[in-house]
Amino acid sequence: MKKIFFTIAVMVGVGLTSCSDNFLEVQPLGVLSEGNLTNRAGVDLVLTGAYSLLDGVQTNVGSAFADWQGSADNWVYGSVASDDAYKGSNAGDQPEISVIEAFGHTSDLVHFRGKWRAVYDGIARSNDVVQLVAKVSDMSDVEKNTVIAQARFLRGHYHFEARKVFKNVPYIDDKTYISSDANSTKVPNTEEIWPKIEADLDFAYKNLPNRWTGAPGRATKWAAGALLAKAYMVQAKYAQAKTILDDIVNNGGFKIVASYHDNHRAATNNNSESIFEVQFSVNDGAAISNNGNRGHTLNYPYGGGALTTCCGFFQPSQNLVNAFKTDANGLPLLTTFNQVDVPSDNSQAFTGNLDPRLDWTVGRDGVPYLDWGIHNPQYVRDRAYAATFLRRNNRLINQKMEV
Amino acid sequence: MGATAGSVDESTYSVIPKNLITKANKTGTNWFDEIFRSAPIQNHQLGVSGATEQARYAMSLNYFNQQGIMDLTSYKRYSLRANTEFNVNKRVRVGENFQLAYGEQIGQPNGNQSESNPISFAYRVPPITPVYDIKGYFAGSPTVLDNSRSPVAELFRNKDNKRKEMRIFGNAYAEVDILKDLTARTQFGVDYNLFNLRNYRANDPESPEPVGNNTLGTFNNYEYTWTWYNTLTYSKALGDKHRINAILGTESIKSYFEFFQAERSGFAVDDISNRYLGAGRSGITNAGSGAEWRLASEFVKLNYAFDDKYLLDATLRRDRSSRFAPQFRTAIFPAVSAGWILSNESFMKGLSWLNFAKARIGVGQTGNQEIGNYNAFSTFATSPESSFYDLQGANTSSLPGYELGQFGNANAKWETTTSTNIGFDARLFNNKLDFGFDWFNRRTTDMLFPVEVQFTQGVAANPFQNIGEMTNKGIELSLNYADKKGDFTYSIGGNFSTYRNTVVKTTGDPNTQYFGFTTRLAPMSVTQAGYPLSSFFGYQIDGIFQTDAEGRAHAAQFVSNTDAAKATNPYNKAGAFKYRDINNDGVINAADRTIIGNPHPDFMYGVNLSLGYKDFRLDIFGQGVQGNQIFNYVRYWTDFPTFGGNRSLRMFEKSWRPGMTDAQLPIPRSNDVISSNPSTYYLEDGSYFRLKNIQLTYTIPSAILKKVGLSTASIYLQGQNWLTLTKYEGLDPEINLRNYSSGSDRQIGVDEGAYPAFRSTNVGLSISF
Repeated sequence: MKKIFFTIAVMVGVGLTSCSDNFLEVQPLGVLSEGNLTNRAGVDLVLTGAYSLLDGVQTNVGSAFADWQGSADNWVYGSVASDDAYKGSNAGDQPEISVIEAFGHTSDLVHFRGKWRAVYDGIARSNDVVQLVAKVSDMSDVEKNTVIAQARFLRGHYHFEARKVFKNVPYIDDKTYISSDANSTKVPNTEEIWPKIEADLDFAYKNLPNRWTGAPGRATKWAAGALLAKAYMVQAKYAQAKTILDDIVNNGGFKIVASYHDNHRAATNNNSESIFEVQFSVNDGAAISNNGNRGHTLNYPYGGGALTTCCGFFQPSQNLVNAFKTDANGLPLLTTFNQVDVPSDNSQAFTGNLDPRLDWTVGRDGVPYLDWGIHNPQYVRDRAYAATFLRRNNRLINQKMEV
Repeated sequence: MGATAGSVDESTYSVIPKNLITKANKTGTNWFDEIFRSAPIQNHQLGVSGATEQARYAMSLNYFNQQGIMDLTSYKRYSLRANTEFNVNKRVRVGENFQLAYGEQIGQPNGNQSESNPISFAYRVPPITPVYDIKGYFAGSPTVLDNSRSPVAELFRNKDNKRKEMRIFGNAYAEVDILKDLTARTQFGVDYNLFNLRNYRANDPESPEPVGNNTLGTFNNYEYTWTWYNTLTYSKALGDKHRINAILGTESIKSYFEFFQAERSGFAVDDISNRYLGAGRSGITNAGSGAEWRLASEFVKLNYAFDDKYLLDATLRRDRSSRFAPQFRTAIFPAVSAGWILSNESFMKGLSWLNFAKARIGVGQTGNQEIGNYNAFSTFATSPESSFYDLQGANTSSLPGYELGQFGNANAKWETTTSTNIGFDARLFNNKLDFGFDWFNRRTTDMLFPVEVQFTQGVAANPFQNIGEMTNKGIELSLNYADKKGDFTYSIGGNFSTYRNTVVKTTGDPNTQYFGFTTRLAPMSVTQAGYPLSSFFGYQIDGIFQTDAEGRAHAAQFVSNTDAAKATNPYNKAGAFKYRDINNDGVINAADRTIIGNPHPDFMYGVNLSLGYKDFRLDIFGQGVQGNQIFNYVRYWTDFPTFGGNRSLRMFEKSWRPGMTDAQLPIPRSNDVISSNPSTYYLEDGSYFRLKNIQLTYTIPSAILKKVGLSTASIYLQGQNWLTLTKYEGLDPEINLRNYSSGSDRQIGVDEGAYPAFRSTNVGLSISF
């Protein structure tokens, strides 16, 4: 009996003392702290993460926003909102896009938040790189500078997107942003951010290499220059833009590809004409080909035995098709192009001249559609609702975003 | 689609290439009838128990088999339970209670409250679509109508996706009487779970948007929690009048969870024997991770009673949780309560009708640490979908990257609820009448909420923050009367409770709003100072314009405030919803959304009735909720032009047309994308009364039993949920919180097509030897 008593007393004794503070120390599993990443390899991983948002697609961490709403080419906020394209699909599907199309949107429209999330997450990731690299000890200053130049290129690009879509936005740099303080970026949006976009891109232009061996996806001097020139042009600062563009033309080593369709084929991505491309990849281990231009996941042919089945959004407008009409010299009809429609079915003969690039841009009934055969009228989900053309650049890794 | 009878050559029917031929169901398919059914439940239990001087033991076996009321869903469980206790000697006892359970569940595909589950498809699939096509294969809806999938086909294809769970739980303990009044107890408990699911999704060629590729996901989870509980109990009566009971204890909990899941697609055949990952040829992905949390507590509890009249309880508890950063880990929660048994006072003894009366008062604190396991840590995560990038331009591979996956909040501390309770219990008239009353005030401070970080901060999991203060005040009442007249016994009783919830303070700014979940609609729940937690949020509708002139006279609805814009605006015309201009700026827009309803009830109540006559006994129990509102999200799909699916009768009958002054819905327009925004239209009265249980029991007289060697036996007939009285138009007014790991009360009372409670009739037999 004494023996049992003794054992229990020891157990209780252990019970009372074992709950020391060590017992309560846990580490998150399967994830890393900033300390784990404060080295050359870690910086590269976080920088790749910052590049990764160039496609505008994130996974949805604890929220209900659709990943495709951040699509890098702004098909909703650009093409559909302009006269280039219609929402597509049918009336009841994603009706919010119709609101944007008709300029009836209110500030709570969830699609805008999807775009906003993508660009500001890109900005946060870029700032994470800049902050991290400052703490690293196994890199030279030159190496660090090249990393910072890439991060600032990305930060400038994401802010450019924000400026373009939302106009009055705050500029979040690595001095403002603190990842552990949820309110650190609560700053006013009263200041015009073009100068800061220009400063980031100018730094990148002056500090990035001309080429990266084996890594065409990385930002180069010329990519930064082209983006900076574009920023100038949007502000009508043409002289400043021209200086940089001349530099690119004269010293960049780019040339127009021989065949227009090389700009639409996966095999000729990153060709001699290309200054900077958003890279897409499929079968790379990501679920649902999330790195393969996921931003267009709703924009595939719908019916008619098409290889994909969803969802028939983003259909070219009649106005866009008409804009491919040319005069006898092959030049566009700038003012009169929209007076007569190009029929959607080429069995109804159209006698005028058409720019051949039309059929690289738009799928028309009776015309071969990529390598899927003749364009089937049933590819279009609801012809009565959303016109009769289908967007052409549907192949997964074919889509390019040019800066 | 669109072909007339006889004009289609049925010999061209083919699954691959797809040329399925389906005849329209002219009488209409009732999809709810197609997926719901009456289903049997079996529950068998066999137990033995016994005792000797040295030991007590009990063992039971249980088999439970419930076929779901939804076709092809089921739940089966086998369990073994064993309890033993041994007296090692006069002072030492050792024992254990353990249970071993194996369960198999086939649930509805895509889970509850999902827009892609069979219930949601049942209200969306057009009734013109039949269940089967001309060859007896599942029929799909034509793409021009709707993209919903056949719920019958979904359930059929899901029928072999078993969720298998093996669970061991229970504890072992030892107790020692150290002194006559002092007992030590140590108890070690464990809850160990293994989970496996092979979830196969076969091709659905009939669907308007077929998946195109069969897929298998395999999920393996492993989880354990152990709890070590130690107490030292001292019980002593000092003289006749003083009784003391003191407990000193410690408790420590460790919980660990790990999962592994993998997915492949491209299976050559759908046979069950081929549904293993190795047989899939493409779409290879996998994931895995783990989590753990720990809790260490010490407590002391004192009970003191004087003369069986005055009672005093005091508790002091210290909790330390791994979920908070070290400096905020520790919290101390005291509680004290006092009771006065008035009926034991000599001056009350003369009241013969009063058998017992007690007044109670108590104040105490409890803590909440439900904030996820690693709230304090900012962490970087890697995922192919979100942080990989093809820097090499390879097209079919990408380089790994990392991104910030969670914002940490190292400043979070325990949420504390301080409860004040005043109560009174009494039994009167020979204990026939039983009465209880409680008033409570619970004040929650440092309320934890997963606040969305600044929209300019980037995207990562939002940390819980201590945001403010909330109160719940209310009363609870119960009354029961029981009596006996010869062979007839009866009891009748009821209970009533009510509470008022108010968020007292958030950031200090009364306009700060914390939103619930976003569905296809903007959030319909908001938490804001001055209002109840998770109030409904949206537009206030003040009727429907009867004339264009009336529409134009109103504020500009979702257009700029000019006569020209209003003149062509369909939302300023006859037949459109008239939205209230909350901020009086002449324009209706997102700024006019406001708090429109309350998911909290005015009160809740229950009634019970028991009647016994000789060997028969009838028990009836019902409960109700009054005055709460439900946001019927299903109306988004059935009452507005959302996709092309089935529409409600309400939309057919109650949509506005010229002259219809009692319309509830606007004039139907296929491109109306505004009217479906969260608004008062979705709110319904959620009050209900439900007869939860009726049971008739016959106890077989022991005289008869003795002859056949049984000691007791009874037969019962039980009916559950036989009657529900409600005006709510959804499937079931009993709406649970959205299933979410933590912080799920940020949205209350939103019905996304929840799985309904079922009505059951049970026959039972219970025998002891």
